[in-house]
Amino acid sequence: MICRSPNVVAAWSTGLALLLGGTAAVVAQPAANPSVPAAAPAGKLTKPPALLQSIAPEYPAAALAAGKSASVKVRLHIDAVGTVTSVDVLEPVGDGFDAAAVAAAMQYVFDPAEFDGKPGPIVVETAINFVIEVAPAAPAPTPPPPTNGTATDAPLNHGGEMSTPIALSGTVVERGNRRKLGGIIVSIAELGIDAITDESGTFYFHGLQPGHYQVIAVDPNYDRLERPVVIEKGEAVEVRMWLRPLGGNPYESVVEGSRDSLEVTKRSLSREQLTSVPGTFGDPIRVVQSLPGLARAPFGLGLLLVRGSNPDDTGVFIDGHEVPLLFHFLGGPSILNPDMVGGLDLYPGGFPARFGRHHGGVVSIDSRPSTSDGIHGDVNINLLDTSAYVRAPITKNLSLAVAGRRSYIDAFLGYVLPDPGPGQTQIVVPIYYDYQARLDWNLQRNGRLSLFAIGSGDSLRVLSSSEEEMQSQDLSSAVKFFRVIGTYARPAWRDLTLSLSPAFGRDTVAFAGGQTDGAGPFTSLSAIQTTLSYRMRLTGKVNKWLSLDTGLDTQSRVNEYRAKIPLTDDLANASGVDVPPELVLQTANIVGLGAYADVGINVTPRWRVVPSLRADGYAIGGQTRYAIDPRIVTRYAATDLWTFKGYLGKFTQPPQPEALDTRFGNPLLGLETGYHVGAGFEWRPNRLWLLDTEAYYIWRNDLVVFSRDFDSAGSGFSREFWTNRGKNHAYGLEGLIRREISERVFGWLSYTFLVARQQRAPDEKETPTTFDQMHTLNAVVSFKPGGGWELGAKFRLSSGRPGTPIIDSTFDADSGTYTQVRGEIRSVRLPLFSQLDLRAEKTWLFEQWSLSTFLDIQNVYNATNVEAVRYDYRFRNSAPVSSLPFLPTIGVRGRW
Amino acid sequence: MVKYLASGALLLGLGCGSFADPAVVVDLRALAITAEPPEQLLDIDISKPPTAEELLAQLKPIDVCALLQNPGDPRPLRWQLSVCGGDINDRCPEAEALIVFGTGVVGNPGNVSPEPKVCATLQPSLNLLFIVQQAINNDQISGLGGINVNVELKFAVDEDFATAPLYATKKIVLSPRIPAERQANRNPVVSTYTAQIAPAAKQPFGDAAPLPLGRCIDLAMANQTPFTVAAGNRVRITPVEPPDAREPYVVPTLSGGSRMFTESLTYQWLATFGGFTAPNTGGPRDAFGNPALLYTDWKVPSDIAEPRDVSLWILPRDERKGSAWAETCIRVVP
Repeated sequence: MICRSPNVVAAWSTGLALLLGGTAAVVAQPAANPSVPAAAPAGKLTKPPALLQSIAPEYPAAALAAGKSASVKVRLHIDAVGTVTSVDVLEPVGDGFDAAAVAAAMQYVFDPAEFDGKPGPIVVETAINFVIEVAPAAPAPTPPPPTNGTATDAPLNHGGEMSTPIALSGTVVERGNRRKLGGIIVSIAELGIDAITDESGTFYFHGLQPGHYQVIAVDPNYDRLERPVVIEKGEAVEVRMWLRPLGGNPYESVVEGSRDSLEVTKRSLSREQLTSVPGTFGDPIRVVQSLPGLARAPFGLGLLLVRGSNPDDTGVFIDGHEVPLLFHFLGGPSILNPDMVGGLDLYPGGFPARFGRHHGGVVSIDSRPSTSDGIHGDVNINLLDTSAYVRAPITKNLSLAVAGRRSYIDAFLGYVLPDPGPGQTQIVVPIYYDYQARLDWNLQRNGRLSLFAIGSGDSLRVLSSSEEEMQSQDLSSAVKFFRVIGTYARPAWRDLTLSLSPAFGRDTVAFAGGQTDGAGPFTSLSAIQTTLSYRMRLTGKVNKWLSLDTGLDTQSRVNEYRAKIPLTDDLANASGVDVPPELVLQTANIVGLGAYADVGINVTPRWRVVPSLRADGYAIGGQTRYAIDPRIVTRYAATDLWTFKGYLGKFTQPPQPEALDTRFGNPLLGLETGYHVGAGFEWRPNRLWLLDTEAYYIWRNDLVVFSRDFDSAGSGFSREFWTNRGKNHAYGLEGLIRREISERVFGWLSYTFLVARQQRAPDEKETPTTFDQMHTLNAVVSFKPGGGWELGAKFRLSSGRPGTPIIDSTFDADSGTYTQVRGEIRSVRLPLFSQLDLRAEKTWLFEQWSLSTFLDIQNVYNATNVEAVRYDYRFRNSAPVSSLPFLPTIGVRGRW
Repeated sequence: MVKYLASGALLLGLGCGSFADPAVVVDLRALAITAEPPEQLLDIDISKPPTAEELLAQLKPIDVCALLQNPGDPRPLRWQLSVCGGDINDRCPEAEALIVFGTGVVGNPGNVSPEPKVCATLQPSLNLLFIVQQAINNDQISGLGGINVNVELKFAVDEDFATAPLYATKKIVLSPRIPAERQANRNPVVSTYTAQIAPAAKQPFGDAAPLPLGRCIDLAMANQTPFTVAAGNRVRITPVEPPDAREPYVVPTLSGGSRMFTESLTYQWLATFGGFTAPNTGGPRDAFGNPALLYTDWKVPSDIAEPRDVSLWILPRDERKGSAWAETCIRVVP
């Protein structure tokens, strides 16, 4: 049955793979052809062109509605660098297929042909097939052999004379993970017939005479596979063809259509890029730190230091909902399993209006759909923890992915800790875990529903006692986090998509300390933040001139503090005072409602203007705050290669919840405001390379800074704690040269020039910010030479952070310590930072699964990078505090 | 994958490098400064600033003494005591109003007997009142929490005084008598310490015995034998606080009320040789509710070839800027 609904998927295939199989005609460029450069080499073809990147053609809507399919024979003119310069339709078929085929083929990228070992232009002929996916009404049985009909009526995965019985059938699967491969050309060399596997990877050949055959499966992303088959008289043979990805485990193909873009500067990373950059532990957030716009975080911490802003000023969103940036202890990896990440976008500035409540930058993470053709997953076992990931279909339209990690440091830590000595006990129990799950339900024409859950926990229990000293400690601390995000998306009007997404979450930080034989904790702190958010979004193309992204988002955050602590906020000087702990309960609420619209207007086919408006209202402790943030961005494609861009906008951010506390904060704080202005250009000589530069200026006002001031309050005084007196401005220049991901290589070179200054009070001198770094250079490359190897390198070079010199000291006789005499604030800098990280990974593919092992070496040449300076007790002598020394790590991972 | 080892190594990287032990006095240092009295209460209404004459009538002279040490260097020391409002570094810059109320040259305190005094008396004066008034004007809570007047000690080996002086500071406190029952702070008085000896680390200590106080040079001049221990021993020194050593006190709160506390004394331990298991003891209870330990164990080095007299200083302090010091001498024999 042929489906003719909006959910019909247009499948396409091309016979280009046959080039690699050697069964298609490869025509050397005839000199007389007017479309061929005059300098075309005339030597012997020593290497045919190889398809590096392709894009699915757009299925003609009218033809789709009419259920028409077609095969368009085309001739591709490929230049000496592998770019398609022109496409000729050899046999026009009409119905819009010809234009669609040409448009798609023009975006192909090839490894160029070689003549006598030198790259040169070439012309090749191939066919681009358009077929409507066949969706059987019932679970697909083995297709019966057609008894009549003609070859032209046959599905593409059938080869030979359809009126004859099936003699050979099979399935093409990917080696290592058993993924069924569609669109693979399967040929019987002796007969010159072929079939193209369908989405389930199956193929059928009819009417083969008894005999020996060579079955060939070819695809540009896989090693060519030849397999001998013997057909006996009266028998039907079934085979399974295991295709090995090029290079062992290729970067998954990135077939990304031209997404409707309403932003100026968005730097995207795919999951494969997030997991294979050296020195990042497969941690998505740490990979982002290598992109332009971010300063280097000290000590390898996962801070996002975007364009001179504080880490809290940059929002991290998962599936559109804000989440805290969390890492396991010891500055370990983030709680997000990279297998659950579909993609990641960094907006260092001028971001769309759909992101609000931040004036730094935005990191937007999409969870990876669980859609799968079978049960796949991986297991990662190491000394400290084990993690696993599984995704599987439950029904035809329902699928599930789960991931989890649990540490077992607690099991062996007791063996490595020093003996506490006689009369003393010490028990240390650190545990961390995280989990993610995603359920996807395809409602067909009614849309898609997904549910994503993510959570983590880090707990530490320390018990120690000393009989002699009559001292004991019972410490328990826990940091827990979870979010549940639901998303329902369905087609709306025209090409617009409506999505509704509620989310609920809770973040808990708890600490309790007491004596081991105590009746309860002597001191404790429990801070719970409950977040409820909801987003409604309508996005897509209205027509060829207009795109829209509009919606509402609301977020409620309730912060509850329950603490038993020494309360000293009512004392003028509490230093050294033995204050008994008291119980205190505090609650702070922030409710934010935002409405936004990004309107993309194609003024001309090459010039797009996106005016945006975001309106936010906040209810903070019964008081309201408002903000109207207008923004505008524009992109102008001067040529096919050059695009110019610019933006200007206002960005508003509420204070952090703790700063608004009625007792320990200032509930009268206002909103922080930032203004971003920037301009730049992109040069994209082909689909694999990109040069992206941008200059910007950002100024931020009304920043919340700590205050030591007092206010008069009735008959006494009250502390101000926080005030909106801070200012900050930053300007810089960013450059990115990027090699997009392909079968064998990806990488980028990024440079960031940044000057960031701050003023904490109007009467204070302007100083560099804590993370002001004038120069930051990052180079990342990953290469697959073949044989299952992947080699990667990351090099970082950055200016040292500013510091304040200590020029003398004074002995404070009241405390018995020395106080430092400081020089000019942040007037000196730490030395230049440089570090090279390397990574080598070897993957062995087996039929059902794959095994990988890697060596990741951080700081290969053992550079002594100074991150801070320590001083002796009287600040006369200093010593550098260095970051990581030479550090090799190894790992093993199994996938199926 | 051993990825978290990276984090462990990160922490290791933080901890590298070592400096001289601050509890071991090896060169010129100020170890303590005391003021007597450490605090004066003034009967004033902070909503109705008093006149200078009214304030002056209430102020008493303040004796300020400093403990300087310069082991191994016999050269005389020059010192100067000043009082001022204090800058951001607790110094008395010459551009600011300051009163130099004491200066002198003394022989090396460790080598001279009787003990040379680095002391001076700060007399009430209009100049002092001016400094106090400036401090009140700069205080956002009008002196409610007390006004800290900065005493600066400038000292050096005599020939270096002009070019490379060292600095120490102490605050003398002037507070309004709020609430009315408030009493001025007194310096801590702890005059008895006991000593217990263990043959080595993790070995049980013997019985406690009073630890004689006094300077090594004074004992030598009097032909008295110091408290003696063997190399490699541990000496547990415990303060014996008299019942009234920890004063109860009341302070005004910012909201207009008052709160009552009891002092929590701290002890700083210094020596010219060896080391301490805890160079600072005492203080408030910890976060688990354990009362702070008062004693420390002095670790006697085992690698000495001949007897050696070691000076130890015990510096009790309260949290209200009251302080005192005691000195003892311990002879270490191989």
